[in-house]
Amino acid sequence: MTLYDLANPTRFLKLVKVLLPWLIVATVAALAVGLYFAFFVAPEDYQQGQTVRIMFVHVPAAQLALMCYAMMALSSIGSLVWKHPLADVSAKASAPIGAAFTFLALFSGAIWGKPMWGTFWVWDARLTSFLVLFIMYLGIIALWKAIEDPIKAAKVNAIITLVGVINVVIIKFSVEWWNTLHQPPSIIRSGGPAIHSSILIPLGLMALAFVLLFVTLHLMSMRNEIMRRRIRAMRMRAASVAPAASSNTVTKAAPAGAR
Amino acid sequence: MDFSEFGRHAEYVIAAYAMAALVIGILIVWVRMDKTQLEKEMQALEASGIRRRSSRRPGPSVSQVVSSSADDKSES
Repeated sequence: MTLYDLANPTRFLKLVKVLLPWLIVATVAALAVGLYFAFFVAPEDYQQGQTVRIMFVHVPAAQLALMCYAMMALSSIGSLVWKHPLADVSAKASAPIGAAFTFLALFSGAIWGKPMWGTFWVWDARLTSFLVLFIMYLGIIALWKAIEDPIKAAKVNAIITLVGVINVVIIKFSVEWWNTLHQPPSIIRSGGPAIHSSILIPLGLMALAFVLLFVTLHLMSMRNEIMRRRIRAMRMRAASVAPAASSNTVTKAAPAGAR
Repeated sequence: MDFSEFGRHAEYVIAAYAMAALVIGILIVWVRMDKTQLEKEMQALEASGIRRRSSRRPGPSVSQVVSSSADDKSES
């Protein structure tokens, strides 16, 4: 099956129907294993103590927040360049999930910050740019709802999403470009991860579980969005045919009344 | 694991995981409720005779349904 085959919503829905049960099982299993490792296998940090366990929620949520935006940006390219039928469906379906995980990353970061930094919030580059990401998600969701025509909404949102990619780059490099209270990268960096394997493995498992959760929710949301568009098309067809039919009725009924 | 082992920072760890559970739970419920509502809407439309243009199932098309209902009205 090629990418062009998947461009057909009916084929895509068939594939989703097959994949979803497996994805749900994989997500639940990965979450269970990840949580077991996070609470029962990972040791407490020599400096942070038990609060290090917040990392197993915070880091995967933050990664997903960025991954969701990357998905939206790729979908926007697909929507603008190739006019892929499912690209704008994918972009629209990603936004609420991205907003939820961005909120979770901000919340868990604030909760982690209080015992570690002595404050819930500082206006440093990483935290501020992440807050901007959350606001951008909310703006994109509002824009999808504000424009009734899904094709117009997709174009406007695609342009705004692609402009917003600059913020993702700022988030990624904020801890290197500016002096921030937030720590520098400790996983993806030159010289390898700075985290011990006893904590890195549970973190990887939780990250995998969150990615599976995102894929599952994204496919479910895309399926809903396709259904929503079909309902809209059905309503529009019924509405466009109704006036023509009623005018036919008038012309048919008039001679009968004259008889 | 005994939560008392979390020591003086237990509330922070519990709050982070509780919020994660809440956010994920809300997402799942929202997606499921959206699907249920859309399915009901689709069924209601199909029950009233409105079908998708590409639908191959037997049944009248939108134009047939609308014109037949219009004919019914004119006959009455």
